[in-house]
Amino acid sequence: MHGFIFSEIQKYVEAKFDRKTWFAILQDAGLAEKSYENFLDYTDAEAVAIVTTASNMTGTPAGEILEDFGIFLGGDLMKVYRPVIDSNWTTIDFLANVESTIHHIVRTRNRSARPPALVCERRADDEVLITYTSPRKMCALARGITKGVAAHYREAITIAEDTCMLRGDPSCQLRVRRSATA
Amino acid sequence: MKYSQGRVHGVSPVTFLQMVEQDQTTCTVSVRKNDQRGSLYFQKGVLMDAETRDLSGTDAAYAIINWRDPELEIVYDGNPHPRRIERPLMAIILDVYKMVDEAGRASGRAEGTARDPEDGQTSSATHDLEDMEMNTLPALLDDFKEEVPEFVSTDIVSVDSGLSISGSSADPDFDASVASACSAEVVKANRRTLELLGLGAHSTEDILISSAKVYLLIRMLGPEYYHVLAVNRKGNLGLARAIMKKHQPRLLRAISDLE
Repeated sequence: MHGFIFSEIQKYVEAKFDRKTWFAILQDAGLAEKSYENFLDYTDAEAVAIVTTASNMTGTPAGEILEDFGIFLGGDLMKVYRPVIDSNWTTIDFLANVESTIHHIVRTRNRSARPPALVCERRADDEVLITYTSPRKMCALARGITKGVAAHYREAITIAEDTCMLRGDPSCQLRVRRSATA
Repeated sequence: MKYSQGRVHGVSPVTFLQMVEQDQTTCTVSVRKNDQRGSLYFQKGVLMDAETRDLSGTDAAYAIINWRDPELEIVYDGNPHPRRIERPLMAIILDVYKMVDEAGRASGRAEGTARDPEDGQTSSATHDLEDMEMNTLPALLDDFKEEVPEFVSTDIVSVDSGLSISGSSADPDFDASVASACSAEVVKANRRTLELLGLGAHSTEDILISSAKVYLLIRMLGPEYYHVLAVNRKGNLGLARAIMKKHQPRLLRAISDLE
């Protein structure tokens, strides 16, 4: 997993709690003294260990932590990629185009980032169906990022998860609908 | 005192002024447009002063840079000129672009052009602006790389994340993603250094890294992004730097347009 994601996890923990908590999580996760750099690649297992430890420490389900982190990450990603995002897009437009624009750039220019392959199918002006099949099974993160994108556009959305790999389905399907301006 | 002069052909006024700045030339650039005349005074590449019939200082520079297709004459007169312009040339050029853009938007830009307030003609800045508006970052980088001899790779990178938001490579063996992410660390370290030295954390124009195989040139595009270029060591470093500088306004424009 790209070092940027770990830097974002650290930023998220420090924003929600403090730096001391971040070091405590690393300590309990068996990653004491570890520092993460944006230009290096790390194993997915380290991210899982950090989230699991944070879940145990706070008593919050890992899925909830991932989703909340996704909201944080989604906002930061929108800031980073702002210059290549069509200023006329809405949340639904962005999601419908995320593979051909953002993920394409990430894959070609930031090779270790390896974003999940998403199939985004526009169902209506205000609805998109996202099919997520990553073996990481982090659909909660995808849900959070989607909410972070909507927060960026100040739009209210609903997300229905019709199928989920964590429930034994072959893929996670997120039906995202724009409800009204937030 | 040395005195020589010559007319300038085949290069846009903005590009020419950037070349004067880049080459740190001491000269007077005389600008003529119909019956209007103006002068831009440079001392070692720094724009010191400007004059037209009715204006002086920064106001005159704004007016002159906005003239469409003027005749340019460069005079190496060696006369020092008192400084009345504090704003950097690049900032003035960008201001002119913005003013023309705003004027165009205000007038509805019926035909997609703005009018020069002084002579009613479409300004050269407007022409440049139209080119910019039609181009996305990938298209601008494609144009850019065509001009760079011994081009290896180029990216627009976010300082904070080290992530490339657009780029292009000629050499598949050159790992542009590592170059982008690592150069972000160089930019951040450079900022810290300048801050500690009291020189202003955001005062960097460009950074050069020379290695055995490539030159890495980094040019800031505001506080959040930078433009990185890798060129083969056979390339001309000065030329590459000048080309980056020439393309900077367009890239800045493409980034800030969408803010």
